[in-house]
Amino acid sequence: MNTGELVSRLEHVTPVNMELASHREQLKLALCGMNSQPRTVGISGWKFLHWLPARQPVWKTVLIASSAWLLVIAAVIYAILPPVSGSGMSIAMAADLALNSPQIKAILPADGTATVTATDIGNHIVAIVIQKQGVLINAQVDAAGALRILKITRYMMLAPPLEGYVVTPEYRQKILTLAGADARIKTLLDGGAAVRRIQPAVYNVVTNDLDTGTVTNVTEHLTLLVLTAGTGQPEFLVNPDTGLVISLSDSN
Amino acid sequence: VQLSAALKRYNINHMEIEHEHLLVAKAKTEPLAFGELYEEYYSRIFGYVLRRTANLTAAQDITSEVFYKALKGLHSFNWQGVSFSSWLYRIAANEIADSYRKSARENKYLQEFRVSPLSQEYISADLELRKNEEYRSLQEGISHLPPKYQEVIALKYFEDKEIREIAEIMCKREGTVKSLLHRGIEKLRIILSRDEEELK
Repeated sequence: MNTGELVSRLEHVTPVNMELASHREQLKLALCGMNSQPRTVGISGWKFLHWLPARQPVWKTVLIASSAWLLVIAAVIYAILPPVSGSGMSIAMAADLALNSPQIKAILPADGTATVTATDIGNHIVAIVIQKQGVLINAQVDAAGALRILKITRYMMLAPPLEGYVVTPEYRQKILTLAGADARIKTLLDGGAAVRRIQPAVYNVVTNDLDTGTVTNVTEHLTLLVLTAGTGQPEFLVNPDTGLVISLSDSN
Repeated sequence: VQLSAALKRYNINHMEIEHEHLLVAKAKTEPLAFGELYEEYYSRIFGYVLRRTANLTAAQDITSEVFYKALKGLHSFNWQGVSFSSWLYRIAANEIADSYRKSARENKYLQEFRVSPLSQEYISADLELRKNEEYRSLQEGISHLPPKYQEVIALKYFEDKEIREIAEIMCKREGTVKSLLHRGIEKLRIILSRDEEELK
């Protein structure tokens, strides 16, 4: 082959031209969400993802230390929740089960202090919400018979909510309608609670259905709803598409 | 006719540059407007990276990194002799060169945005990529060249860039680009001829 022939091949070749729509969409969601955040954030979102692999060599040591912390937290839950039998005991046991679950330990950041919320969401299902270092885990535990974890969902914030961001009146109404359908929020609102903040944020959501063994991995826009109720500020995460409401504050 | 064609090309380029200026200025003041810039350039950058790497997973990771770096550096971007699109291509070229050096662990966080290789979308795209044998044969040869030759050949023949634009992207003089192109083609010819000989 001479140079002329090669140049001709290069000039006439049809290079590949394609893209992956899902990648395009997910990356855009994350980047746009990230661009709406204040520039001085802690170890969260993308920065957290950068930071995590770098800390891997010390994971084992920290994991042992954090296990001790988890036990302390579990003990605190036992102390706070009603002490004997009934749903209180089931909730406490469900929380303990979730906190000691190897699957949850594996996806929970080793460093930092965890905040744990346990809520009876009906049908003998207890939702255990664990928040640590920008990672939020929602475990659904079947508390009917022998306790077992049904589903583990990890919400990793890719872009924290934008301070001072004002949502449109239509979006606000949509979130309030969805949130109002949740018994916990309805009780608070009926009791005189006021809406303090409505802030959308971008999350990477990985759900592991332990019953079916199915794992899904999606990027979602979720909305943080903060109420003012008396001296407290209960927080909820609302999915504007599915209407799913997760309580981030202890409502028991 | 040549003058008319040149004038037409100048007008199109001028319009594109004005449009680019507007988008960048908007994205600097309105955070969510970065989405418009992203929409404008995603296909070009993803396509460029894919044509350079011929690997869908690498193309996703590198494109993610390019736009992440563009977003981070947008506030400090200025128009000193380089257009925004050239700046993106420059980041992409650096990322492609870096990807040969980076360990898998360093790139791990970008997996969050990857399309699963088991998904129908990925499988279809991968099949499409493999079907284009002429391109794959050339790309295979190009991939054995040092990165600077890969870059100049890809920009000229796969991205259809003019020497002036390639010089802007590579941050080199036009004469240097022409020389690189000449040497790159010669090296590629030797590689492909050797491969053909081996096949015989």
